[in-house]
Amino acid sequence: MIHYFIVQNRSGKTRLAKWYQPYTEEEKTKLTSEIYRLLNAREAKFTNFLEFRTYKIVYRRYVGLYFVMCVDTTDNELAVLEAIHLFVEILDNYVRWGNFSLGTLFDQ
Amino acid sequence: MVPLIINSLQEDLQSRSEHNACLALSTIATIGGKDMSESLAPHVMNLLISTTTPSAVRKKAALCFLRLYRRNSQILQLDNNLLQKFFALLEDHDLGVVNSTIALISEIAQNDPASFELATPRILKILLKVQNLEYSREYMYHSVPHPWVQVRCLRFLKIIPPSQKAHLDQLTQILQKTFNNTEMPRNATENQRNAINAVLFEAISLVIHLDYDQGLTATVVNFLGRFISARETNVRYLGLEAMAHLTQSDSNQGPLLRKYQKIVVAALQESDISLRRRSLELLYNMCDRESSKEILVELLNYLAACDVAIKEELVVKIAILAEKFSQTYAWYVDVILQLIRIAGDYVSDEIWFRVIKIVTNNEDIQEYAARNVFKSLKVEPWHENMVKVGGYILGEFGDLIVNQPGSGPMDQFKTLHSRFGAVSISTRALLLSTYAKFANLFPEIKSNIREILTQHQDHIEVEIQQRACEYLRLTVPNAEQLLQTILEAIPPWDEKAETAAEPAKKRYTAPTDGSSAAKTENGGAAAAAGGAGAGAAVGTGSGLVDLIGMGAPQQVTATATAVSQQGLAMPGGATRSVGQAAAQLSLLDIGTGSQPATTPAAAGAGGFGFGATPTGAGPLTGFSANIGAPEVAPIVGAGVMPGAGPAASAGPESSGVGPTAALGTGLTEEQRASVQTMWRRLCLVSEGVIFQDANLQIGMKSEYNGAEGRVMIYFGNSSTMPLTKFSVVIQNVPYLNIQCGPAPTVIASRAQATQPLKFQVLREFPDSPCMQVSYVNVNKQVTHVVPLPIFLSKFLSPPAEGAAVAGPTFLQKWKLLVGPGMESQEIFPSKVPIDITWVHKVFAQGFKISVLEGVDPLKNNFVLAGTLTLADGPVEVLARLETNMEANVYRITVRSSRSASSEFLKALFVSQLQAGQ
Repeated sequence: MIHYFIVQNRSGKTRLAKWYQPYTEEEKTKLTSEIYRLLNAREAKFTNFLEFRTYKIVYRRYVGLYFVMCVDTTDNELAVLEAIHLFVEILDNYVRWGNFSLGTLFDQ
Repeated sequence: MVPLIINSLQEDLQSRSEHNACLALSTIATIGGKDMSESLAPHVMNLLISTTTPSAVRKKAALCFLRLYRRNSQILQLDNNLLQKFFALLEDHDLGVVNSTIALISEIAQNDPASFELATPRILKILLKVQNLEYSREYMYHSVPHPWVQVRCLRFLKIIPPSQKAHLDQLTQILQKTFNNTEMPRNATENQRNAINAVLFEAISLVIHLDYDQGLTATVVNFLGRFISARETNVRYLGLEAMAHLTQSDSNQGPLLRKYQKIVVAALQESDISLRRRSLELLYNMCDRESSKEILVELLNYLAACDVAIKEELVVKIAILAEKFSQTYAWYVDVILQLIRIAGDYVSDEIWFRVIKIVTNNEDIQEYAARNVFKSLKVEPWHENMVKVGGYILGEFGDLIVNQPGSGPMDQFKTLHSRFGAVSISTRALLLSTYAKFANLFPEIKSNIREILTQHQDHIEVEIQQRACEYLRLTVPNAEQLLQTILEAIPPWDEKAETAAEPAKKRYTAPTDGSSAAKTENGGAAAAAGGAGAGAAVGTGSGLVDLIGMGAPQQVTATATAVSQQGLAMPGGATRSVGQAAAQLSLLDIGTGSQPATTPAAAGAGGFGFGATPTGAGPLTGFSANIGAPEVAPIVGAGVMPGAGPAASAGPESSGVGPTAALGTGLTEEQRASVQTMWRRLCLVSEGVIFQDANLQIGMKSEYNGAEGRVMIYFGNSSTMPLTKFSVVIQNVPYLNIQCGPAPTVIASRAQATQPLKFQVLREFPDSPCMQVSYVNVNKQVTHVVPLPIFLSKFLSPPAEGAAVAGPTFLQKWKLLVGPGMESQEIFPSKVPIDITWVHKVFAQGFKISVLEGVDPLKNNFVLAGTLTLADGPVEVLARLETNMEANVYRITVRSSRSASSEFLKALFVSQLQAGQ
């Protein structure tokens, strides 16, 4: 089960967030900054998975953006990872139709 | 406002525009409060199952309902009709709808697997269709047929595995095909590889979960072996994870996996912490008797190099493995000492307590341990935990190494004292106790020790100051005998009691002989804490701290009191002159700060603390946990005191079965009544005394979990002679599958022995099994048949949380349970005036079932729900109790799907209620 889905840029600013659990604002800020700290320290060749509290984080970096999903530890990590990619592909298609390039979105 | 919003959402749900309906569904899923879900869930469900809904809306409706269901499972009223609708959705031509439906029913099936057994063949069919590319092409993801649906189907099969052979074969085929299709095309993109692997790992996990036939397991092991050395880090990670899963669910894989050990160890050096964690977990699981030495050496090497984030976990794992697989205790001691040396900061108190306990209990390693600890103490850099262990072990066993060169009394003392200035207060306090022990062991350095103690007489910390003062008084010249008695070596710990729940009680062995300071300190501390939450106050592990004397600041005072209480209360003939020592203590006037708490606590003890409890305080604590001390105290008294006389059954005759028959032999009417009360009480509480005669006292502690139970039986020898040829035979009964732990063969005078029992309930039963205990005391053979307090009701628990029974549901279920034998009813008078609060307590705390509020409008009536767990599954039990206060009569009705359950449980309920408290 997905607990939350966050898109952060490389300086830790949240660009998009969807929470499927009732967290308070404070908790959300705490979670996002903690996740940013953890992810920012990771090298590119590391796994896309990270155990975080009692959950698991599956993330993927696209140029300047981190797409982060928090799921249960029993979930299928690769399926989640590809779900992120599918989401990005769809986002990319959608944005291209609107005469934007996803590049601009990523550059922010 | 809310009704308006709900109304408008409802309109949107029915709108002809797909967009409006979809938006409404999204809103409901996101906001979905209580009101909203209650009033809109039926509409969402309608959208889901109606034949006219467009696919896009149907998909969303399934997911929306899933969200609502997760928050409140009550919104779903599952019936056969609806199930058929769900199954029809599984055959939808749109894979998106199928996917969402599987998500929904997976969640429901977790709560109600029985209803969804028929879904399994349908899921298999979907898998086949996906594999054969029978769905539309738009569901291909990077040339892989919809991986998410495949993953979801495989996960569903974990919840409800196929049971019929044909379906199992089908599954094997599907899995085989998945395993065969893993050859990556040369130009595969990363996404394609990930998608294939996602399905593959899910299939592997399913094979492991189902404990599949050997052929597939071997394939899986091969795959995993390849994965853990794969180039891609993600695959390595998942490989390690799956392998850990495999070792966990099937320990026989150990030898098969041994060849991968090197690779796994190498993964400990990965720079990615995710990988290191997995590899550590896997190594921990892989460890068995043969590989333990090698693995531990690796782990210790790694411990020195690893980073902080993982150190703590690692230390605990090493300590557990070392203990679990130690072939010799010496090796274990070595490992722990090394652990303290390398990562002292991360060694928690529990770990070093444990090593001390093991050393104390095993005479043959005491010298070895003392020697090595002493050696380690001299090594720089040293750690405070090493000083603690060293202080304790040298204080106890320092005399064993005193003849070796370089470790004379003065050397030991100086080495320890050189660390004194740099350690914390609690460690210093411990060291002072060690010095006092030294003063006893080595009279030649007494003067040096007195010097140190004198220096600390006015220390700013009250704990240090008090110890210094007290030990100084103890070490005055001409009081050697007293010193010896108080600072006597620690007796072995009671290993069995260690596993018991209440920490305040668990570290205590029966007062076999004189009272060493540390031992009675614990007694004192426990007694002083009294019945009121002793367990909570002391906490796990800290019981040991108490033993070394770091608990309440007034321990030694408590000691004095406790010693005198014990000494005086002991019914003569104790081998050591404790009474004398106690008298001297009082003369010494150390016990001025008398402990009010100890006095009443120790008074009722009759000199013999039973069941790992030092004094009368123990049994009180135990019972109060369940029922409340005041009610129970007299019963304990009655059970213990009168029964102790010659009236208790003695001689080789073995009496009949059944509680009263066995317990009541030769008792007067009054005693018989008290025995009955005691027996009845045992039906409600988890521990207590079950038998008592002039020489032997038997007690028990029990713990139930589902259909399984564990009982620890305590045998206490209260006589002055050892009980030899001790034997225990547990009656073999068809309704319980009992496994007995080792029974003692001899019980020394005033000692206590234990025997663990483990059992599983196979079916309902009306009575309790018996055990036959026989022993020889002063050449006289004595045999008793003692019933064990194992009752059917012990396997009751409140209904599972998910299925919390509310009023309407209760009535619904109640009405369903009609049929021959399902109901058992009885009208019976109460022997005492009915006390409603007491009845409530009996059910909620004694029988551990739910008392439902607000179902029956009459407040003197009770509505009860519970689950009886038997080996072949749970049985839901519902009951109603009506009271007639004027006539003082109860009417109880118990219903369940099995007549034996209803009948026997009713009998147990009646026996409790009838007699009153």
